[in-house]
Amino acid sequence: MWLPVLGLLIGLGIGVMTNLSVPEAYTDYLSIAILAAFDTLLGGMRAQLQKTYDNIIFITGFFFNIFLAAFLAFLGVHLGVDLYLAAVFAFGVRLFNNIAVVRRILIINRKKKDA
Amino acid sequence: MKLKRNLLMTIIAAFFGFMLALQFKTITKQEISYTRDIGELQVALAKAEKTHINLSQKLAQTQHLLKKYKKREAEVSIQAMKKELKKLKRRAGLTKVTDSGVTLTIAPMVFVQSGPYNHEPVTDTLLRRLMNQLNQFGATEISVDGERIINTSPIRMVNGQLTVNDHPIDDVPFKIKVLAPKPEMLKKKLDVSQIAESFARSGLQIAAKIEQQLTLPAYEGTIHTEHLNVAEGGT
Repeated sequence: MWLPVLGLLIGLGIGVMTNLSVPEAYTDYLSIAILAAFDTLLGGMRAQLQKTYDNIIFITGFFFNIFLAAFLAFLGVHLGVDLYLAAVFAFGVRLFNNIAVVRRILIINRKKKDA
Repeated sequence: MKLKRNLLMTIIAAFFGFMLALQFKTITKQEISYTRDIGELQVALAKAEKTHINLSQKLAQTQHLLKKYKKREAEVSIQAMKKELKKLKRRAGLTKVTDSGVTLTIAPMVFVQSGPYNHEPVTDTLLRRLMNQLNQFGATEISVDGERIINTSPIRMVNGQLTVNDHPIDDVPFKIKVLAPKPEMLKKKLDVSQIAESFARSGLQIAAKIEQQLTLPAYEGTIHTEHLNVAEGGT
């Protein structure tokens, strides 16, 4: 359970240490990709708790969602429509959903333990 | 299986963290440039103003130079055009010209024994022939009795009166002024030409006198150019 948190910290550390930075023009894409990644991570957590987790689905979902979100943002820029809002909305809703489900499962599990 | 799953989760989480850190760094970097204190901003402003002044000065200098160049260009072209116009006016016979030349006096023949010959008046045909001959002999400009001959000057008889440029010419004697770069040559050629004999047949003689400074009047009429067109590709 704590391994992913450790991974997250390691990733943060690497990101901060390295001198890499994204050009300003691409920060929008990166932010939406982060949103997608966060949603997928929570989805993975939820799947684990619901015992429906699958490696392939998780990893393809992670990259595909990131790619799709960035692509939507890109398309929106070129069409003059704020399409990235669609991605933000979709991933935002899913994020809240996932968090709610995770919270419920955790609470139910604790209650079961207590009982 | 669980280890593999956790490992995968860890890798993905690390990747996510990396992206997150990158984004944070980019965003905060942007913010840094907007959160400098007043002192720093003042220094930067002063620097920018200095640059602005320098650039303005450079711009003004360059514009001044450009103006100068443009003015000079215009002046040069206007001068060239004026020069050309002067040249063309001179060629068209619209200006007074002074040069070396020959003055021809057309007068009745005088015989020592019998006095003035009973002469015939000068006809347009005779005068035209004389003009052609003079041109052949190298005349550059001609005026007949104060009337400047240009390319379109009419020489006609009107009611028995000789007219040049539609102005009547006095009866003999009258003077024809001819400009030529080599007046001596023109005089010699004229002396031995047929035209002198033709005049003699009418009882008239041509007396030629070489002059170093001869002034011809300008053509005073209007040149009609309504049928003139610019030649294509010509100069």
